[in-house]
Amino acid sequence: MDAVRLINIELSLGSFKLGPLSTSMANRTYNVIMGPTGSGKSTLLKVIAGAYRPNSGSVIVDGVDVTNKPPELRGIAYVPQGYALFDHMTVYGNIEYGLKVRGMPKSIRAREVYRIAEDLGIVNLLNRKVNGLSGGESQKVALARALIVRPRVLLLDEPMSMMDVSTRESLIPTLREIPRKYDTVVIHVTHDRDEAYALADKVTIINNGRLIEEGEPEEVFTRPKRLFTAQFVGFTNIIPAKAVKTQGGSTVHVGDLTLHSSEGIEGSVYVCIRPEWFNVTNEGGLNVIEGTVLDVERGRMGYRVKVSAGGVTFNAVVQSKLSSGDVVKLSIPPDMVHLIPAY
Amino acid sequence: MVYAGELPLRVALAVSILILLLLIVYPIVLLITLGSAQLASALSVGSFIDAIEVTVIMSTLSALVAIVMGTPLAYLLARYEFRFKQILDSIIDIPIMVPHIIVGIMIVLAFASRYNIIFNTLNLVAHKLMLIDAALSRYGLLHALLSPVVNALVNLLTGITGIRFVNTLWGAVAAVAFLSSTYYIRVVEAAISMVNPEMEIVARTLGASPSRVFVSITLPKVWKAMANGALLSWARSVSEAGALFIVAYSIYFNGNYIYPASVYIYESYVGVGLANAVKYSAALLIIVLIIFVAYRVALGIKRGG
Repeated sequence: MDAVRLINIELSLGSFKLGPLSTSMANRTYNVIMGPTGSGKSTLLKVIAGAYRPNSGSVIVDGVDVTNKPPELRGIAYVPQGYALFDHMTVYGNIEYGLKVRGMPKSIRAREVYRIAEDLGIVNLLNRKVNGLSGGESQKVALARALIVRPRVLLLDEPMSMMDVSTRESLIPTLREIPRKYDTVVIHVTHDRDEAYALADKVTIINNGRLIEEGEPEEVFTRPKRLFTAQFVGFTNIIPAKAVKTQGGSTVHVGDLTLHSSEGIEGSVYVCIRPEWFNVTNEGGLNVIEGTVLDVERGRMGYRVKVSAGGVTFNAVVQSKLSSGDVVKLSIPPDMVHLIPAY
Repeated sequence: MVYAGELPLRVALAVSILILLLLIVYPIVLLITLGSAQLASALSVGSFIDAIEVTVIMSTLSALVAIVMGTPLAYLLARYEFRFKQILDSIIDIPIMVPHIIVGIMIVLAFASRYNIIFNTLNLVAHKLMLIDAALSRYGLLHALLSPVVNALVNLLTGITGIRFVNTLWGAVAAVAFLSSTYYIRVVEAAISMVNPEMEIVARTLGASPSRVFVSITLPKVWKAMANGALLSWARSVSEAGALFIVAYSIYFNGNYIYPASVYIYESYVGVGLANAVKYSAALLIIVLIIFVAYRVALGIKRGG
């Protein structure tokens, strides 16, 4: 059974409309909801938390309809963007809070706080005020505060947005193991695709308050079904083309070029290629594009080059240093020429 | 951007400090210097002590009214967007704009005139209840059962409508609470809007009820502002004269008619003269300042609450 089910959620907030939106998340899984700023992902999280009541639709947790229940009766813990640590309390006070309001005896609270603090490696922070904590420390305190109540669902709103890159990377394993270690379902909201790819068992893409696409990250990041998804997850080559079905795939006419795709589709399509999928080659053959370098930009993964070939401009990330005006051959394997039907 | 020490800033500051000294510091210093020598003499006058006592009681009750009325309103204004928010906002600002004499007239009109709709209605209800009671007297058992309840209700209603507002503490508190609550609401509203609402949501998800969230999360962060706002509203009430001229020129308290402090000073000025008024003014000012400072020190309120 799915731990969380959202059924036809609709909510109007001023001029913004969320939904109708339906999805579900299984227990002990890490779910990432990804969308651009203003797409409604944080609002959706607040609907699940109970901070907003939807105009219609239902939020089901473990088979129980919690739509009309207040946040404190939902079994859901929430870590907002910026963490919202209680800055008039110590780290200990923060973590203890959920047990204290449940009326748990002091000795049990102390034991639980130490246990979770040990788990997350923050025992040394327990007596500190929360104001001087670093981004990574704050996040761990917020996680401890949320996890100590053993929530059925853990909601994380952009949990890494306040961190530098190295802290972010070091925290990925901690987050990754939460669903199984704490027997919960994590719903994590972000606009960062690296974060989503690293963490998710399932990725849900939303835009303008609507669900665009969802699936396993490998699927969504390499074989998106929707044009918006392709743009959002980093396909910088999205080119209108005509495809003709062949045995074992299709032949695609892109500008004056002909490419082969292992996906068998007929008609108007968008050819979608991630820039890092191109290889520089010296040989000719199938799916080799010969063109002129228009522009070179240094990037984290290599050189980002724009190559003009057959009336089309391709974006590629290559490891060899090229200059504008160079003639270059780029090859792309047929199974990496992804096609999205153009409706 | 003007850098500290640049000429335009220095000139502007010089002008502003000159006005500050002339308009605010100079009169205060002069009053206290002249009056402090007579502090003991002022405080030995029984009627003046009574005036201060009744003023402090009136102002404290008014501050309590501000807390009870103002805290939920401040929370509402700080946290939510809703239809008619602008209207509510404006209503809260009305007391700042209305001349105080008019506030006095309004209080008299609303609670101490034949136009008092609320009391008139309650009297009518009490009258009807008495008629019902009389009609019931024919039904022995029913009358025996219901009559005590009806009588209690009638007593309650006539008790309420028996409250007098002119020259009583009720009227004085109503008038000064009308004028001073705005200060409390605005200070507390600003403080609540500074509390991250996400903290309240987190606390709710962690299992706290709304009242528990207010007590454990919001209140620790705004109580100083509440205390500060209550003090401001209290001080505003102490200083009130205009509305009291109409509603409670003297207040019937402990079997005597006692002037509120501001009226007392006015009386001493027009009745005896400036020197006499200076004596009492300085004494009142010193007492208010002592209470002000002591209160702030006790609460540890720093600048801005």
